[in-house]
Amino acid sequence: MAKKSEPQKASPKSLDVSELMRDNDQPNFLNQMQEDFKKMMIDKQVLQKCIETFLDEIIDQLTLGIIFDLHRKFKTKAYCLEVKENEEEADAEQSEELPLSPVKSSPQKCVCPNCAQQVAALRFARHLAKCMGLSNNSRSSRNASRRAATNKEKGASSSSSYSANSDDDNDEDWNPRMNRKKDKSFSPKKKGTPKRSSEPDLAEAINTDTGETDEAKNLRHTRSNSSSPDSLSGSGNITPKKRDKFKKMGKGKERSSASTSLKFD
Amino acid sequence: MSGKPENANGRVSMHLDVNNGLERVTELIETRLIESGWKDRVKLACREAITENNQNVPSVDHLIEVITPKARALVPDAVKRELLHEIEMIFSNIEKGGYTTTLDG
Repeated sequence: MAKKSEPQKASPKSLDVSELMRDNDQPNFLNQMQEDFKKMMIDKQVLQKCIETFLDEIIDQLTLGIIFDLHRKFKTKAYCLEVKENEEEADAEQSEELPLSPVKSSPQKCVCPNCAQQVAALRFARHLAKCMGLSNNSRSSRNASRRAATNKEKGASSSSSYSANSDDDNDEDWNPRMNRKKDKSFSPKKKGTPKRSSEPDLAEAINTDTGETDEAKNLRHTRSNSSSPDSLSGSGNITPKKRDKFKKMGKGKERSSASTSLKFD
Repeated sequence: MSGKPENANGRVSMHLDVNNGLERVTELIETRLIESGWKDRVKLACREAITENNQNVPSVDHLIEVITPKARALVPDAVKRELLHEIEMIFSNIEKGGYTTTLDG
């Protein structure tokens, strides 16, 4: 009777092997299991079917676990919190990624309002500082001062045609690349040479100015009555040879002053 | 036969349990299924089934009816074949090594 009732008790999930083995009514349990195992292994098709059903059963168990878990989460509204957290994380990631993407993708160009050149956006600040002469770099400030000086001179000489002026600027000084090349090619000793070359022009300009105001110079000359080279104003009464001498003297003085100015720089 | 479970599933699980291999095989199956992305797909199917009715969350029985066949179908064939082969190999190893005759605990 006990043997007949045993299979009913031994349902597949509630079957406890250790209990069966310890049961006094089942002394030959392991031998029976071994026989059953041998039978199962002889027929490969039966074995495969058994394994397949076993696998399906475990898959069903796992599925049940997932279903219970999700159902409980939805019922207790714990799932909504999880979704919100995920959404917040996704938003944060997007906000971190967004500002980086346009910089990588599109190299934008800006037009300089001063020289109307197209400059890459990343270099625009540096270019503008150089172009406006605002940067700390001494070269750029010198360039800017030169540009300003040339602008003033040209503006004074030919103020009638603005378009012609702008063309000249582009040809000579307004191309920053040309200036860079020039600066690189010159040695630091040679840097002073353009200033020296520009000094005689200044001296000539002074002389021309003095020539224009002869009366005032005559007055000064009469007051001082000195033969010092400072009295360039006395050119009105002096012969052309003496003028040349005075010019040379004036150049020498100005050169010395230029050298002192260089030292101060 | 006495002590022998009625269905094939119980039969296999009993033999594995006697030879201390049931837990290992269960873990193996679960790991492979998670690695293949089966668990995520089943979760997604579950969420879709639950959110179909916006007002009421469906009952567990309804979910089991809907999801269980889907979950079986969602198992990748390669993974299923591999798992079947591995369990078969475990059984052949038990046969070669000899069926357990003593109880470990």
